[in-house]
This record gives sequence, structure tokens and C-alpha cells, in this order.
Amino acid sequence: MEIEESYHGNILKTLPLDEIPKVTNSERLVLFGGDRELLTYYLGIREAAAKIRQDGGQCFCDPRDDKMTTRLKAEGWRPRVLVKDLKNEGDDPDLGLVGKQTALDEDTKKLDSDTDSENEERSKNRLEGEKENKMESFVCGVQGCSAQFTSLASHESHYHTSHNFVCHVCRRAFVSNFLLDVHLEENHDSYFKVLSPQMDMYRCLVESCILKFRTSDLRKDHLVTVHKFPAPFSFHGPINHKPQKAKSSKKKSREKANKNRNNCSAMDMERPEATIHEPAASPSALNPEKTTTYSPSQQPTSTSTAAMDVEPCTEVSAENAAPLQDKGRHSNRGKKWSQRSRGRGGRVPATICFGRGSQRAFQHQRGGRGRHWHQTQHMDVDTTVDIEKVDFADLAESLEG
Amino acid sequence: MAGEEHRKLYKKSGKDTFEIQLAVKDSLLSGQRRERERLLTRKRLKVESLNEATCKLSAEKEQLRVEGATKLLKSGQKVEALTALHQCFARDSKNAETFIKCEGLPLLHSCLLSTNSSVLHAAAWCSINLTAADSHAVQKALRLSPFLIQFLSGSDSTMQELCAWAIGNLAGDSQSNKETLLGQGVIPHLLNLVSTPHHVMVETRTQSVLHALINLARDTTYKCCRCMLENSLFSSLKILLKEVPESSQLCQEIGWLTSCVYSREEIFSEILNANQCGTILHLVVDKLLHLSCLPQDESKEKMMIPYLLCCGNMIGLSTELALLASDLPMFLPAMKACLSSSSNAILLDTVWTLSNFCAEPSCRALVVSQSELMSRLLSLCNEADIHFELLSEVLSLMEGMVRVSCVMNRLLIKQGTLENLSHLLKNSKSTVADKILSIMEILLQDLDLPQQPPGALSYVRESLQYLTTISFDIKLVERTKAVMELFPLSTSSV
Repeated sequence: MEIEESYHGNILKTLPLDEIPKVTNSERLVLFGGDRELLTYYLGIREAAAKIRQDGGQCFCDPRDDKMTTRLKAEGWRPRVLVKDLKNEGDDPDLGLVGKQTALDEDTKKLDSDTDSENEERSKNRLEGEKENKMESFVCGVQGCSAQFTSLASHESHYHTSHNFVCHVCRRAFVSNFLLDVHLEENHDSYFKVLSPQMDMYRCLVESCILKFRTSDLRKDHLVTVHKFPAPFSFHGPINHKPQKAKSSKKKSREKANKNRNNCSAMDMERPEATIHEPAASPSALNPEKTTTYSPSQQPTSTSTAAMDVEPCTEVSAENAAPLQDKGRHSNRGKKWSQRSRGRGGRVPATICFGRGSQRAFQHQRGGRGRHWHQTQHMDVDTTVDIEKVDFADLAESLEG
Repeated sequence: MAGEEHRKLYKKSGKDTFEIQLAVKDSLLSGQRRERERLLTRKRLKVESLNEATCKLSAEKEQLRVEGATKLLKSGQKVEALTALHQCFARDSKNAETFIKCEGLPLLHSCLLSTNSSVLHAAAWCSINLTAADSHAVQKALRLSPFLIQFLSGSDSTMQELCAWAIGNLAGDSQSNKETLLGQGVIPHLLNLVSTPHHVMVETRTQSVLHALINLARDTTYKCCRCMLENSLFSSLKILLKEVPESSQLCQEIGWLTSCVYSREEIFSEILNANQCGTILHLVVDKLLHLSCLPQDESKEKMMIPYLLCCGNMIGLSTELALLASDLPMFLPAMKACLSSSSNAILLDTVWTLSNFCAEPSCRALVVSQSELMSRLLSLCNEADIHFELLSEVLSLMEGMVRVSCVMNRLLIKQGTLENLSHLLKNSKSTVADKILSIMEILLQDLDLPQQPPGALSYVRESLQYLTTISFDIKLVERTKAVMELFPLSTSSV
């Protein structure tokens, strides 16, 4: 890019910073070879040219030299200023200006350029170096981590990756302090949970962006449309890579179902004596997999955003199921009679009959097998009896006889 | 007969024993043939260990390699697979396309989410070479950018270095990539890694960060540069220019970054940056002087050129900076040192810088008054192996030198400029003779005869005479005669 005029307006209206050293008068005199006359002449040109510039004019020579001024006007000569545009210039590998750099293995590079004898020497040196640097293996030990290492560098890398930005609540590891901050705020902060439905609390995941959003979906839209993030992105996977068993997904769905049930029928949890006790302990009834009641405090917390989403740790511990087992919680309430009868097993086929004329044994009666009146009748039945009003005549007759 | 016909209708006819034997033999032979071909193919495609492979593999082999490594990645042997892929991408950039076609990008993405540091490092190395591939593949690889950016603000310096490298490759691919990375907030993270002297001392990481910043600074829209300046690039550059020694290879990258940012016209339109430019110019000139003192080798030229470019551009874009340069104690010594270099590229850029500097008349007067500088410029012209481009540039500079004032022209004559030009005139081509004659014409017009010693101009006159005899260019001869007429009559007899 060639510029005919190199003069811009006075952009340096303020003095340059004090830290810039300037040449002193004595140093300038040395520059001019001790010629004071020449130095004075130079300072004169400088002053005269500055004055013309201040007045908005241009000068390409000594303004005090009329002969030269006339000559230049006649020639139309102007000083040539050339600016080299680096942004549009292509790569110049010879000068070290390249757009892309490939990473080559050191071994490959060296093998390409060196001779065999040099390679042997290098490999010998490498082996000797390895022997010197070889350490006994040591365990990480941070927060019970049992990873083993033979070098400090590898341990350091492991530490930075796995132990540095770790959530103390759910043990998830994050890449940076910012992401950990966001995770803690959105998943383990009750203040956030209270305020998030009412105001924009979800921070943009680009640290320099100060915007906040009402929901994680809105945030994701913003990231994709404004910051051009890829649509299917997530910033971390789960720490615990154990394969999720099928029952956990079933448990999740039951949790959700029971959540609603628990919310609307809290009295079910508050009246343990109201649950039905089954004398026959069939495995299905006591199967912890089928126990679906949870205390409100054990309800799993919702995960924050699609970007931060990780499979939550929703493994149900046996401790939760145990007290329910002890109290004989059953799982058949609410089931239809046909399901219950199937649940009994049907050990004796209905076609078998014991004794002529006798009623079929083991025949299931309507209303369920082995149910007493207090199991079938409504709980509101009053069972109190006044002893004074009871007639003991039949009892007396039987005793006399 | 009828029974046979009936049988044929309803029952399948069995084969003869002979037919069966033939069929078995055929199947055996075809099986053996297939096995032999398979073994031969394997032998042909067998590649020795990658470390010993000094030549590129064929396209077929490369494809098989990449597909095999991708399968290995899917199966869970991540470190081995990523290492193989990293080497494949280094050998041939087309392997990146194959990898993407095999749906390897989601696998690479999942590796970047791993909590295993070995896998992370291997994935980062792989990303570097993937992002150095062809533009089409790099556009797909841009999806990795948010994850690479997040690692910059982590604590693992190895990952920071590798991710900065990969981001630099992404930025260097296209303008759209630069804008995307800018929108994803990469610049504050990069600048944070060179914000203190402590950070800068990690040389490999700083080199990668500078590579990324340079590529971002070369954007055509100035947005990246503005973002850098708003995020304290100035203070980072001050630290880099002051703290990094001249012997470090980082000097080259620092020079390019300074040049790419402060050589832009937009910088000077923002008054906020005005004071910064003076400091940067001072630091650049200082660095240039120190670099010129290094022993001559290939790296010296590579390190000096970006600083010369920065200096020349800044001085050319602002007269105030040219005046500031004239007040810097080390500017003229730096120019002298650069002119003593044997590298043609350095000489060209130095002369160009001086041309921009001499746009201001007082600066021109300053240069003319430096006899050492002038004699070096003229001696350059008379060197036998001088490049034509350099000669032309020096003569253009001289054309400006003789247009300051008559006082300065007399000084030039006193320094022996006429004799030097005459010598050049004898040995030069006709294309530059015109320029030399125009310079001589102006000097002769300002010649102060009483002050000239007797016989001082005889050599000049002889040279002009010689030119008229050897030249076949009629216009040049006429021009020469016109210049000779400028000699006063009293000198013609000398």
C-alpha cells in the first residue's frame, strides 16, 4: 500500500511517556560531528516544519529555502512512503510467518536428518538418561486416588486433570475454575435454585460474556447463535464411568412417578401403620427394586444445563430400602386382583379337587386369599365392643354340656 | 420312464460323485487363491514402524492406517490410536479428511473430555495436526474450539501449550475462523498466559500462544487487534519486549506480533493507542539494535525482519513517530548496524525504513548529516553483487536526500557524493543511469564553485564523457550532455 502523503493529524497531542529516553543536546552534538552550525540548522528546519504542520500545511523541504521550495513545486515531487500490509500477505516460511504449524515427532525428525551412527549415539544417551531419571513408582494419594506414576511430570499432569477443579459435592472434575464456579452455582447453591425461576441466573459459558439467561436452553441457544458453539456440545463427561444398570433407569422412572405420588399423598409416608403387612414373605414383595417410596429429602436434584449435564448419581442405596423392608412395606397396594392372584403363584391347579363333594381346596376366593375381615374392610370400621352387652348364653351352655 | 419323469418333477436330482469331487476341488482352489491374495495384499501393505518410515506412504496405505487407528480409538485404545492419528496427519494432510469421514471427530471430542491426562495430551497433539490440515477439514475441526479454549484457562501448562497451538492453526486457516474464535472469547485467555514475566518464562507455551495471537492479529477487520488492545496487549508486549533475551527464539514471534498489531493504520486513528505507539517504537528499536549485535546466522535475519517491518510501518504511518524516532538515541545506531548486515532482505527493509523516515524534511537533514550512514549507503550501491532492487531503492532514497535544501546539497558534495555517483554511473545499467543523472543534476545546480578544490570535478566530468561514448541510448546521451552543460566553463578545461 503506497501512501502519497505520510502526514496525519497531530495524534500525539500529549507528550510521550516519560519512560522513553530522548537524546540530549550533547549527544545530538556528537551525532553532528561537533558541528554546532549544522546542529543549529537542523533544529531550525525542524522547528519551521513543525510550525507549518501546526498551521495545517505541508512542507517537503526546508521551508526557509525558497530555491528548493520553488524547485519542488516545479517538479511536483513528493516524498514516497510505503506501508507493508502484513495482514494480507501470505505465509512466508523463510521468515517464520506461517499460518499453520504441524507437530512432528522428535524421533521422526531426527531420524530423517541424521546418520546411523548419530542415531546410535543418541539412543544410547537416551537410555542412559532414562536410567538416571527413572524413579520408583509412587501413588498419587490425593483424596484417596490410587493412580501410580513413575515421573513427577506425569503426576503433575494427572493432578491438574483430575484433582484440581473438582466439585467437593459430586466429585466431578472440570477443566477450569470458571466452569467449576458455574457448576457449583447452578447445582449446589440453594440461593440459585430459589432465584433462578424469578430472574436471569444462568451465566454464559464464555467467560468474557456478561449475559445471563433464565434457562439453560436459552443459554445454549445464545452459545450456538452468538458464540458459534457447536450445537451438540458438552463440557465434561461423568467422573464415574461405571456402566449404568438398567434398574437405575427404572428407578428413575419410578422416582418420578413416586415423586408425584409423594407430593400429593404425603400421608402415605406419614402413617407407617397404615401400610399392609403380608405374612407370606414373597420375594417379589420385599424386593428392594420394587420399593418405590422415598422420603422427600432423598429426592434427586435436577441437573443444570445441557452443556453441563452429566448423568446424575442416582444410585439408590440399600439403606433407603431397608427400613421399608423392616416395616413390611408391600408393593401390591393398588394392583388389580388378577395381578395379585398371579402374584400368589397359583401352586395348585384349579382342576384338582380333593374329596368328592368337598369344596375345592386351595380355591382362591374372590377378595383374595387368606385375607381377614380387617384386611378387606375399610379402615374406618369401628371395631370396639361393649362387654356388658355381650350375650354369653351360648358360651354357658357349651360349658355345662 | 414315467416314474423317472415324475421323480424329476418332484425331487431334486442329486449330483454325480464326479461332479461333487470337482465342486469340492474348485472350492478348495478358490479358497486357496483367496488366502494367497490376502497374504500378498497384507505383505504389500505392511508398513514398518512409523518411526522408521522416512517416506510418505501411498494413498491407499494412508487410508488404511487412518481407518485402523479410528477403529482402535473406538475400541478404547485411545492413546495408541491418537498417537497413530497424530503421525498420520503429520505425514499427509489428506488423512484428516479420511478421519472425519470415518466419524472420528466425535471420538476426538470425547477424548478431550477424558479425565486421563495421557489421553488428553494425546488428543491435543492429534488436534494440532488435524487443525494444520486442508481448509475443508479444518472447518469441521473448528467444532473442537470451545474445548480447546477452556483448557487455556486450566492449570495444566502442557495442555495450555498444545491447545494454544491448535487454536493458532485454526486461526491461521481463514478469516471466518478468526471471527469465530474471537466470538468464543479466546483472546483474553491467550493474553492471560503472557501477562506476567512468570508466565512468559515457560518458553514453549509462550511460543504457542504467540503463534495463535499472530494469526489472530492478521485479521482483515481489525476486530481481533482491538480486542487484544482492550485486554492489555500493550502491557504484555512491554513485558515480552523487555524480559525476553535476544538469544531466545521467542524474539521472532514477539516481533511478528508487534508488527502485525502496530503496523495497522487503524491503530493511529484511536487516540487511546497514541501514547502506546511511542513506547512500542522505542522498545522495537532497542530490540533491533541488540539483535543486530548477534553473530550472523540464518536465525538472525528471521529475527530482525519483523522488527524492521514494525519500525518502517510505524514511522511511515505517523510523522510524529518519525520525529520521535529521530529523538531516540539508538535509532540511528540501529540503522547503521542494519546497513552493515550481509543479508539482502535486511538491507532492503532498512533502506525502506529510512525512506519512510526521510519523508519528514528534518529527518532527511538528520540522515544527510550522518556521513557514516551516507557513505555506507553509497558504498552499497558500488558493491559488485548488489541486487538491482536494492540499488534502485538506495537511489530513490538519494533522490530525496538532495531535495532538502541547498545547504544540505553542499554538505553532500563535500562528503564526495558526486564522485561516488560518477563511479556508479560508469558501472551501472542504463535503467539506473537516469536516476543517477537526475541526482547529479540537482547537486551540480547547487554547486558552490569557489569552495571546490581544483580538479575536484574532473573525475565527474570524465565519467559523464565516458557515458556519452558507450551508451547507445540516444535519450540518455542527450540527458548526459545536458548535465555536462551544468559544469561551469572554468571547469571544462580542468
